[in-house]
Amino acid sequence: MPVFMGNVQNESNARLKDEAVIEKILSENKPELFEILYRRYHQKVVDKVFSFLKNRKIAQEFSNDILTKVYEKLPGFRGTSSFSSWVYSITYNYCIDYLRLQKRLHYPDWNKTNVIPEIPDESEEDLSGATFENVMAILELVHPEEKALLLMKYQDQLSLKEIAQTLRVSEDAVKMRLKRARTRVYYLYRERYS
Amino acid sequence: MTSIFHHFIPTNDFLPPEKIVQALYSLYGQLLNVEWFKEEEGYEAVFYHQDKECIACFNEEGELLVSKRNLPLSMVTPEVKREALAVGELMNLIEINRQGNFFYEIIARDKNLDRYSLLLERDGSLLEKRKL
Repeated sequence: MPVFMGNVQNESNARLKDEAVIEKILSENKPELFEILYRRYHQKVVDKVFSFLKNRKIAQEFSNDILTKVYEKLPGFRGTSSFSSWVYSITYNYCIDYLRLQKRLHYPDWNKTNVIPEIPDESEEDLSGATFENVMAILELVHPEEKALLLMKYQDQLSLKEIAQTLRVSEDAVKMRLKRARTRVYYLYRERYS
Repeated sequence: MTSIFHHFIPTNDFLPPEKIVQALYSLYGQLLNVEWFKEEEGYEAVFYHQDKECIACFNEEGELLVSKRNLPLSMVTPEVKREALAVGELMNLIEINRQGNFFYEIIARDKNLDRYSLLLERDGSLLEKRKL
């Protein structure tokens, strides 16, 4: 990643869309403009990492590593999804790989001990009283891989293919795990709040 | 007004033509939480049947092309398990029924945590292996 000199944030650069900044970095060979993207995304990446790892120091360290990775992979960004989605998919991949490596994530074992006792009928659930806080609280109760799936699909709107690449599972596995994650959230919400 | 819950986890209201919906219900009977998607070849339903996540793909005429079930790892057959364990630890098991021919898609990870997608026949013959 280039050393930032702090002089690229002029008004015209600041107004550029992400994709236009990338175009300038790559085609005009201006790596220093990555600072614009860094400033736009650093805190967002810190927050996403923190939401998985619950450690501010690690979140700061990892965010720098993740944005370095983003910079290195920039020539491979094809623009099939938005730049923000692409950055977040790299963020999720980094967090999930870290947790898998720490052996704190073993989805099959977790599933065995966290069977959904009864599949709720989504159409019959009364969710009118849901608040931001209780939806967030439920997301903390599901497995990190299920949480990542839900966020990638519904918050960051990544394609199934991108999610599959990020989690290193097949597309069919993504569809089925996403189904399970949704169902678990409905079940937990009903148990806790309905 | 959309619930804040559905803001985070939106519902999918897409529905295919009635004959496709009928085809699904006549094949499976009671099922839950069906989501429909338009695919190149026709329509795909993702749903719960007998407490398992399932996928069913239909062509435009309502004929079933393929169905899939997400199975617990304990349901793997000995032949398929033997082949998969040669690659690594089993992480996911999907049964594929292509007009009466059964296949298994397995995700296995080796000791370096590299993950592979394997496609096997019922007798354990390995048809495809790719690194994920």
